[in-house]
This record gives sequence, structure tokens and C-alpha cells, in this order.
Amino acid sequence: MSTNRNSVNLGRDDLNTGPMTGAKIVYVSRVLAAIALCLSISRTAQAADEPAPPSAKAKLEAPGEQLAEPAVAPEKKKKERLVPVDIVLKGDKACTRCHDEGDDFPVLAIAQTKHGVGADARTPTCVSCHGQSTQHLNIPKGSQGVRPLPDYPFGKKVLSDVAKHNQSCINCHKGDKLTLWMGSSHSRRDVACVQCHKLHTSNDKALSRATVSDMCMNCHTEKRGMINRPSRHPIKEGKMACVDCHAPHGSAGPKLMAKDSVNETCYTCHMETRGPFLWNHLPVVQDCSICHNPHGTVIPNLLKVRPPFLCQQCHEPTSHRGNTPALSGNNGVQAASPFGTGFASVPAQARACNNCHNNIHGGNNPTNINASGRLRR
Amino acid sequence: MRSNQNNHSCSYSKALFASLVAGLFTPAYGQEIDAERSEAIATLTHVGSQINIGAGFISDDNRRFGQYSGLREESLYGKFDVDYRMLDRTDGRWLKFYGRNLGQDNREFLFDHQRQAEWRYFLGFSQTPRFEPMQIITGLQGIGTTTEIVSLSGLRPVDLKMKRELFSAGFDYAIGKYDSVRVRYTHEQKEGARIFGRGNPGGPAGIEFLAEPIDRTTQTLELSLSHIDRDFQVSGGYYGTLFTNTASQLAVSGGALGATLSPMSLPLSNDSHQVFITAGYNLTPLTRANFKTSYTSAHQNERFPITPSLALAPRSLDGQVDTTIVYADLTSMEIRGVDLQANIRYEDRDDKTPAAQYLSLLNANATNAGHTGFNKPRSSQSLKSKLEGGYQLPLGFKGLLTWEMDEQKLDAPELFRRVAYREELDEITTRIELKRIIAESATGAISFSHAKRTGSDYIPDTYTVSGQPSGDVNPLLWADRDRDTWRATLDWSPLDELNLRFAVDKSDDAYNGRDMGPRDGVRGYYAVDTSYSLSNRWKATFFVSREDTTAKQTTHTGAGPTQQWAADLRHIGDAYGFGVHGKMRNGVEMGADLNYYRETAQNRMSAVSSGFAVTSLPDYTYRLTEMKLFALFPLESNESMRFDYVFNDWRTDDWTWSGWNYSDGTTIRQDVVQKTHYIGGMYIYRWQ
Repeated sequence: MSTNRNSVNLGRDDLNTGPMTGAKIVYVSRVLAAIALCLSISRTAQAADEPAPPSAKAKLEAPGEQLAEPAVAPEKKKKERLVPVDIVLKGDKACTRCHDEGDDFPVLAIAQTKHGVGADARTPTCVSCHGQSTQHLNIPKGSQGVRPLPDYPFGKKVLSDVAKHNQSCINCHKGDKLTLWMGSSHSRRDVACVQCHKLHTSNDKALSRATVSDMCMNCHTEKRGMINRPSRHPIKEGKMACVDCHAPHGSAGPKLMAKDSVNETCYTCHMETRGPFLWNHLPVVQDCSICHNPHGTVIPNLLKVRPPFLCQQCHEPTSHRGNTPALSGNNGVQAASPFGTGFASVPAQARACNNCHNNIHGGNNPTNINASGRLRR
Repeated sequence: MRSNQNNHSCSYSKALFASLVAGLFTPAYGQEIDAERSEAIATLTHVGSQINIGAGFISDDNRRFGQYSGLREESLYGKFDVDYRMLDRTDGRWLKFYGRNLGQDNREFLFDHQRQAEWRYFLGFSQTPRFEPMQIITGLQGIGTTTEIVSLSGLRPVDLKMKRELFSAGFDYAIGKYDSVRVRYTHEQKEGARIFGRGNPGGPAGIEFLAEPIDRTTQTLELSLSHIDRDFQVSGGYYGTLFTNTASQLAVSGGALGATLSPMSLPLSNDSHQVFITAGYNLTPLTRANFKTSYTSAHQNERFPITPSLALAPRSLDGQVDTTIVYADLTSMEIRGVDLQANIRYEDRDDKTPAAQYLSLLNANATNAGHTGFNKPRSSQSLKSKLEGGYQLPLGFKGLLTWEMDEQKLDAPELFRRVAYREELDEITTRIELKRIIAESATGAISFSHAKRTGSDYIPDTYTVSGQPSGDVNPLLWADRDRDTWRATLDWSPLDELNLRFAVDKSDDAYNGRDMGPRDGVRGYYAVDTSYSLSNRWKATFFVSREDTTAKQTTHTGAGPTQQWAADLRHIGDAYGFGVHGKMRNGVEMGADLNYYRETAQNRMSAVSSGFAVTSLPDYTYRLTEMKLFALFPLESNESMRFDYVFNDWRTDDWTWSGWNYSDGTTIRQDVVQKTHYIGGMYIYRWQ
């Protein structure tokens, strides 16, 4: 009933905030009163001729039974409007009598979400999440008129007791992908559910592939630059999201991997690297992240370090493997020897070591021991 | 809470009117107010739908801006998005259709129908293109097929492209109050070609450009049953994958190498089958135990498309890798002010692929090449355990102490190896964190961890050529390493309007044990993020960050230890951003973001041995300046127009391909400056 309440409460203070003077108000009041009189007569006459239209509130969707008002005479209706009624959730009238359509925070938008579907018996009430909040509802004596916050306000104040706030969600959201929440690094580091999820909106960024990554990078800010590097996944375009690879609610893998291991997660899209191959390359078997940084790098193919430096981090320097890299773009030198004259250098350009060792993830060629075993064909 | 700040001129006049006539003309006015209020409530509570129809113009051809979107040529592009949502509140039935970028190369849509808490099914499609950002000029024939001919003539520009088309489907069904079944299926087709190549050091020699043909299908199927009650939750099921590659080999002819390395092998089809169980149980209201185990059997048993050199060699690898993972954790907060956690993760990768001889030892170079001619199955086991305790200290402090152990066992069955090996690897990490909620408007944490990795004795490299000594490299994978990491964060709101966040992350690595390979490394990350509410409707953000990573490593040339040299590798990533977003009183929403990213790579080299000269590789830099502007003009309560402008300025002096010519004459280049302007307009219609 906020508009009515506003009408009554606006009074002098609100009128004085406007540019009108007292004389102007009197003049305008008279004009408006005359117009209103005409409108009132007109509407009264119309109401007498036509059946009373259903209350607009009655058109509201479920829990419509609670919202619908009986068809009563206008004068009775006015009286009943002053009695708060539930708008979205059972028992929400205690809250929505203040947190109504004029509220700064659009609490009523929860009706657009799964939490606002009354037909699902599991849906919560305001109290389910925010607590009884008796002091918030009834300002205690001695508080000098300052209204205490609800028991669980879910704003910045949530940081004071994250576990209790999260429990409000966990009370219902159990199992499935939340089974391993307790014990996960996000849980252990006091990440509150509401730091990622917004409940009173139909557009929860955490639930949209196009926006969830931006939300993750609010905290994981170092990834913000990485996803803009020249070698990257299509995260900016919203074709991939952090949650494609990571399970923020807990996982049995390292780094909250979506699957049980780094490799199994990568195989979801890059199954060609799974093998097992006839000729395996050990780091490929062990962990893709030994060579690749999936968040973005300045080296093609998301490599962490530019070859041959990358390869030289493990391989012994025998033969050409420890040679110094050089910009050997000279076609003649390569035609004579890809390693440069006298094994002095190896190409740092083009695909570097992979110019020859092209099947670096593993080979399946059972012929020619030199080329196939060295992942060159 | 209620605020009159939102009641602007319109509501002001309504309120004035109401105050004047209240009590005199209640019935008529009451109906009006009621209708207005009901409309406002309906707007907030009804599920809404939206369509966007518009077009955008790209000012210049570009290869980076549109790499994954297809907006890469100077042209006009249509845009159509739809977000349809319908909710039948009487029975909780949702019907959703979501489409984005329809008509463009990166289009996607999802059809979703469900009755909340009872059943759901959905169908989805997503297409992701990847256009090769480099300009290729080549004479290669047969690109995209499994038969390619290297040609020094007929050089022409070639655009390589890959495309993923992902279809997904799912079904959920609740069986009673506590149980449910879930089915997920995906089918992804990946087609196109990407940069490949072949090289031979001699007889004949050359490095030639090839294109890897891509024609692959990946399918996944997940079936699971779940039981969820107040204290016990469990789900178990099957997860299977099937990878099919129709391009399993590449025949190459022509060029200087002719058929020397032909055919070339490409990935073979493979599959995996997994069963899993995940469970959690609340032992008490304050103690919970979680458990997950999975058993996966992965296979590659497709017949080799290439006949083995050895007549008696198997014609199929019959590869099989069985992986068992067991994870368990226990978290307890039984003691007031104390929380404890312990977890353990065991992984056994059992490579059951039969070892067989595929190549003849009669090959003159076999022994020197470090080969027995047998394939090399790789098995490994790892056991990770962690204990962590948190203690609530006085003055709002909380302390966390963590101890982790990571033990690995690696099988080393081969007689010959090119990398020194360790059969056992252990890493112990201890970590201490102090956290304090300084006030309700600020929180901060500082932590320090030390990790020490050691292992069993090295099994040395066996590969020697012409009497050259084997090296003494400390392989990055299992080198002895000490790692110290400091982290500090502060999230502070000194004013209601102002939020500041500081982050510092610094780690130092020191490698020990052997003389060459990685020596030390340092990573630092420093960031400041700020947001300031200019008013209830306007907000400004600013961020600046730097990531600085250095790694030092040493090795020597093929001439031996007399030519030892060192590399100092450094990467600096700077990011700056400024944005203002807000809404004007007339309902117009506007936003501006300006971001700048600079990535600098240094590959410095220096001689360790005296009398040996080394020339460093040049540094190179990538710069990206991106400006985004938008304005959203409401036309009616359910209609609006949105205008976007994007300026993208991408620059580099990367030398990866500069001056590089393949033996066959192929060149790969890129525009070192790529500027793109995008101007778009969109009509938005909403309904409920």
C-alpha cells in the first residue's frame, strides 16, 4: 500500500522539496480538485453501468490465491487495501508492506525466479533466508528509531558470518553439484553464496554463460588480463566460461576442476590428445598444464613458455636440443639444415621445435623409428 | 528500504495530486492508485521476455577482433537475440527459448521446458568458429583433405578456419521427493584445418608448411541417479565419451621432402567409460564427510591406418588406460571457534596397453635414438593429503594452518630415455594464513606458504650421440624445488560510496639438485580495483594490475658443457581499466569502458661458459586498447533502442613469423596494427 502511504506521509516535508510556493500550491490544488471531482463523477457513473473489473491484483500470478481480493464495494476495498497481503511468497506481507514496488532494492523480482514459484512446495519464504528478524520488524526500544538489519541481510555485512549465511542456502541446496561444497576451497575461504549469486533478479550473472566469467574475475582479477592475450580461449565472446572447466561449488579434482583431474577436464573438448598413443609424450599424459596455460598467453597454442625454451626445461642438451634459439628465418639455412650451421642454433620462429616434432601430444605411426618415435610423423 | 529518491518528477506530481484529493474522491482515486500499483507490481513480478533486432557495422577487415565471432570483414552484420520465458505459476511450468547472435557465426540457442521440481528437458546448439589470425600464402594443395601436395608454385592466400558445432540435450526427472535421474548428451562436430608442418634435418632437408585436416566428432553421455535427503546425498552413474576422427592420417607428397615423412599419423579414435559415485553425509550438524570415487577405462584400439614396419607388429595398439580416483574429505566445526578439515585424494593411472615391438632394432639408428622399438605405456600413482585447521583468535582475527603432502610414483619401464627420470616424487606444503574482518566494511588476509619438493634418485638420460656426454638437466616436471608464496588481500570500503580492493601475490621458486634446467623463478601479481558510486544511478570503476613472471634456466649446446648458456625469460602483463555506467533521470542508460592491456615478453640469453657468445632474442610486445560505449534509450515502457560503439586497437611487434619462409615458399604473416570500429544499433522489445 505504499502509494497510499506515501500520499498520506508525503505531507509538508515532501511538498517543500519541490519548487512550488505555498500560493501556487493552493491554486494548483483548487484546479486539480476540480478536475478530480469531474473524474470521480465520471468514474462513479461508469462503475454503476458496468460490472466491476477484476482487481488488478487479482490478475497477478501465483500465489494468486493469496493475492486475489474479493470483489467488494469500492469503499470496502479501500479499507482492505490498508491490510498488507502476500505478494509473492507465503508470509511475505510482513516484508513487502515496506519492501514493495517502490523499494530501492527490487525484492519483488524474486517472483521472476525459481525461488518465487509457489507451485513448487520447496520454494522458500522471506524468513527462510533472512531469518525471523523480529528486531528488524519491530524496532526495539532504545534503538533511537534506527531499524536494526534483518538477521541475515546478505549485503556487505554478510562478511561478518559467512558460514551462517551460506547455511541458509545449504539448508535447501544439497547434493548434486553442491555435494562437495563443504570442504571446497571456496567454502574454506569464506566465499559467500551471494557474492556470486543474486536472488532477487531474473538475470543472475552466475547463471548465464555470457556473464558468469566477468563475475568470477571480480575476485580472480589476474585472469582479466590473461583472457585478452593473443593466444586464448573464446571467453570474451562468451563461447567459453570459467565454469566450463571449473566447478566453483567443489570438486574432487585440483583447482576446482570440473572433472576429476586437469586432463580429464581438457579432454572434454580436446579428446584427440587423450590417447593412449603408440608413442606417448610424458607431460601430455601427466598434466596438460605443465606446458599450457588455459587462461591465455602470448605464445601460440596457449604455451606457457616459448619453445625451444619450454622444451629445454626438461630435455637433456644432447644433440641439437640445448642449442641456442635464433631467428633463423633464412630459407637457405633451413633448407640446408633446420638446426643451423654446426648445430649452433635451433629455430625460435614459426612453430620452433614443433616445426619438426609436430605430433607433440603423441604419435601413432608404427614406421620409421627416427621420425615416428620422435613425434615427427 | 523505502526511499523517496526514486520518486522523481512524475511520482512527485502524482503524490501531490493524491494528497489533495485523498479523502474527497476516494473511490475513483483508489482505483487509479490500485491500478498503478498493480501495474508496477506486475512489472516486477511477471516473468518477462525480450527480443533484440539490429545490425552492426565493422569498419575494417581484421583477424583478431573477429577471431571467434566471425566479425572479421568490413561489412554490415545482422543481429538477432531472443530470450523467451513463460511461467505457468499454477503448476510451476517454465518454457524458455534463448537465442544469441542468431544469424552470425557464433550463434547459439537453447530450448528448455520444465516443470519445476518434477521434470525438465532441453535441447541446445552452439557454434564456435575459430578463424586463423595469421595470413598464410602457400602453394600447398589439398588443404582440408587427408592428401596434400607441397608445391613451390601457385602461391596464394589461404584462410584456415575451424568450426565447432555442439548439440546438447538433457533430461531430468524427479522420482518422488528424494530421488532423481539425470541424462546429459553432447555431440560436437569439429571441422576445418589448422597450421601444421613437417621438418627433416637431412637427406632431404627442409621445413615445409602443411595444414592439419580436422574432421572430428566428440560425443559424451552422462547418466546419473541421485538421492538427496536432509543429511545424506549420493549420486552415481555412468559417464562415457566417444571420440571419432575420420582424418587419421595425412599423406603428403611433393616439395623437397617428397614422401619422406609420409604418411603422417593423426589422432586415432578413442573412447572412455566411467562409473562414479559422489556422496556426502552430515555426521552431526557441524561435521560433514564427503566422498567421491570414479573408475575410468579409456581405450584406443582403432586399427593403425599405417602398416607397421615390423611385419609381426600388432596392427592395433589395443591401448587401455584404467584410472581410479578416490577422494574423501571431512570437515568439522564441533569445537567452538575451531574448524578442521582433512582430505585425501588417490589417483591410480594404470596403463594396461600391451607393450609390443613395432620397430626393428635393425634400424641403424635405433639404439642411439634411444629406442627399443617398443611402445611405452605410462602408469602413475599419486596420493595427496591435506590437513587444515582454522582458529578464531581474539580481536576478530582468524588463523588458518594448512599442511599438504603430494606423493607421486611414476613407472619408468623403458630402457632408453631422453629425459632424466625419477620414480618417486614428494612435495610437502605448509601454509599459514591470518585473516581479519577489520570492520564490517573491510576484510583482509595475509598468508605465507612454503612448498618443498624432492624425489628419489635420478635415472639418467641414456641418449648420447657421438660420445657426447649426457646433460645434467633438472626437469621441470620433477626437479627438487622450494617454493615460497606470499599473498595479501584487502577489501575496504572507507565510504559507503567507495570500495577499494588490493591484492598482492608473490612466489619464489628455487630449483636444486642438478646443475641445469630451471634454476629459479619469481611471480608477482599486484592489483588495485576501485569502484565509486557517484550517485544512486551512476558508478565509476577503475583497475590497474601488473603480473610479472621471470624464469631462469640453463643448458648447453650440442657441443657440450663448454658451451653452457642461460636464459632469462620474463613476461610482464599490465592491465588498466576505467568505466562509468549509469542511468539518467529520463531512463536513458549509458556506459563507457576503456581498457588497456600490454603484454611484454623478454627472452634474454647470456653465456655461462667463457669464450662462448650468445645473442638474445628480441623482446616483443602486444598492446590492446579497447573502448566500449553504449546507450540504451527507452522508447516506451516495453521498447528501447540500444546503440553500441566499440573501438579495438591491437598491436604487436612479435617476430614469431616475421621473415620466416618455409622451404616450400610458404609465408605466414600478420598485420602488426589492427584497428577495428564497430557501430551497432538494436531495437529491443520486451513483453510479459
